[in-house]
Amino acid sequence: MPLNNKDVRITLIVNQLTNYLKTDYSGQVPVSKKKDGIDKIIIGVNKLGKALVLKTVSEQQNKKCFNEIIEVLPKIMVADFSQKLTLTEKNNETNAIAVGLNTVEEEMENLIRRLKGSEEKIRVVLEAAQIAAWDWDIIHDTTWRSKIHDQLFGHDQNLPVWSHKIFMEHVIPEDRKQVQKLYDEALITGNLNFECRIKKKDDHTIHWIFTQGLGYKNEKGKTIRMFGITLDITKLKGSESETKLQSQKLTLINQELKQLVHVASHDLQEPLRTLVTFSELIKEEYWHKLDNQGRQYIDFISNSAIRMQGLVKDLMDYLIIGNEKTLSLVDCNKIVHEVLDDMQVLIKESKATFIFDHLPHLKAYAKELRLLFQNLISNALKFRKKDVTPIVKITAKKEGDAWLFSIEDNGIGIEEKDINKLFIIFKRLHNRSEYEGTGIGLAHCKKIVELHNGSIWVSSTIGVGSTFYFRIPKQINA
Amino acid sequence: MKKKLNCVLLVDDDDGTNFINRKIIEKAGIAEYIHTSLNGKEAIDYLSKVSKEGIYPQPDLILLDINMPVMDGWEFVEVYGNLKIGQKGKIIIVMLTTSLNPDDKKKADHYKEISDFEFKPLTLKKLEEIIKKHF
Repeated sequence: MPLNNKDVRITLIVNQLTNYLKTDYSGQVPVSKKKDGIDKIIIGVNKLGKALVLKTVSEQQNKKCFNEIIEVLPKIMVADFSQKLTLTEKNNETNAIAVGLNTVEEEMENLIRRLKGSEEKIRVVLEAAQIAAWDWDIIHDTTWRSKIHDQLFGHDQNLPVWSHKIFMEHVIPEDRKQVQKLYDEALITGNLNFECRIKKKDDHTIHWIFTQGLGYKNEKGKTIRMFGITLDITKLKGSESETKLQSQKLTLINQELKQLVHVASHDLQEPLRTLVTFSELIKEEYWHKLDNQGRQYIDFISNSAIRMQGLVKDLMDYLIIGNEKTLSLVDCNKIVHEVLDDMQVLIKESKATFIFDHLPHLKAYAKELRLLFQNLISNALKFRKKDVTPIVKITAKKEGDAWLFSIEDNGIGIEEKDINKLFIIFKRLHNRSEYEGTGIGLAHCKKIVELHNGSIWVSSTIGVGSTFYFRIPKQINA
Repeated sequence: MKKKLNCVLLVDDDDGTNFINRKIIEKAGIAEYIHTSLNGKEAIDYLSKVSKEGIYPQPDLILLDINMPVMDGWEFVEVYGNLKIGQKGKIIIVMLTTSLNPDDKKKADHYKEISDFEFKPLTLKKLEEIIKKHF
């Protein structure tokens, strides 16, 4: 029930009753559409007027009651419900008014009790969350604020007054200009929202605060009042800047690592090439002069050097993946056809059969995606069973916002204990004499899939075959 | 006087390393017999193979590489730990590695089966120290 001292109806009632006392019963108080307690009183007051004209009630009898009502009404306006009206046994209009007024008082009391309850809840919640609330009267530059407000700024208890000037004195000089600019803007837009650093009054430590406010405008469109909250976000800021710092460090380390490997690789290649070249020269020019042991030594040297060249090259390739990132629309059917064309010799030799559905067109890193298919398809052929014709099945299906690809073979399969070793760089599951390679292929695959924000995994049964799956989202955020 | 071992088992996937290690052991003249396995799996197979006389090879010393295909050094030690007493015998296992990772050394300390941890390459001096320490 809205009741405030601006409610003109109260004044009208008081005036009317004053008139009655002066034996002027002519006027009528207009009834509003609110149909609340006050309206009931108005109806009562109007009826009383008529009764006084008709002299069905005596003015003298009601004088005491009138005075009481005139006395009580203004008190109600300031939420003072201490004085209740004396009810008479007479069932007349005056008594009805008194009953009405007492009801209004009770309703108001209840309402205020309820409001106080909600206010209390809000206060507790705000305090628990260490959020300060404020109500800034811009015209007079005074601010009501909740209990913890001034504590945020390093005061034991709330100061006698709080103004914009006092606030600005807490803001560190470096931030003042920007904050003032935001305040000036907020007076026009009605929206205040900023983070800034303040110096606490007690220990002079610098803290980050966050403030958000909403302005209220008068009928001329001028912002005259603003409500809002302020909280200390130093801890949040701390972890934010820590994360930022960490990621900067990581980027730097990554760059250094890339550079290091790049340089090392180039510097390594040089002496390796010399090793390979000279062992070849020895083989060409001195082979006939060497005994078996000498020839074996030369073989060890040249084989190791060649292997090292392979490792260094693979390592370089691994680091280069994703260096030149440009997404383009790629046709997976075309990629697979090209890859198979490149492997023609091996396919003929192994009599392999390839089965694949219609594969999708998708936005991807073309060069890398091709390498991914190439590695997975060549693995499927490489790890075939000696006495079984290889069959490789390639499929793709939509799975939510992603494409799920699978490359299935009928090869030798992978032991369960080895499955989590598969994608580790240079990890080989077989002796070099059985299956060649440095062991980088699947590490490449993993890096490529991760470059596409996807994931790769395998399901396999030893002696039956393996299926490699990879899922890449249709939309890749470059 | 040098102590003679009956058998040394070399476990390494690199032929060159095996060749060099064999040469060093031969030069030191400490072993009657040297066997080479290219990975942990082959080594386990070797240890599990019983001769006509019903005897397991039971080498006195195993020089074990860490990073190998099929079954690496760590997996070998796990499987070795579960072998029958007759197969294990009183074997000294020395891990021999190129690894510069200090975690590998720490990890090796956790296995009671691993008696020592040495860095490659094996030298005559290192081999003699191993023999002096463990035999």
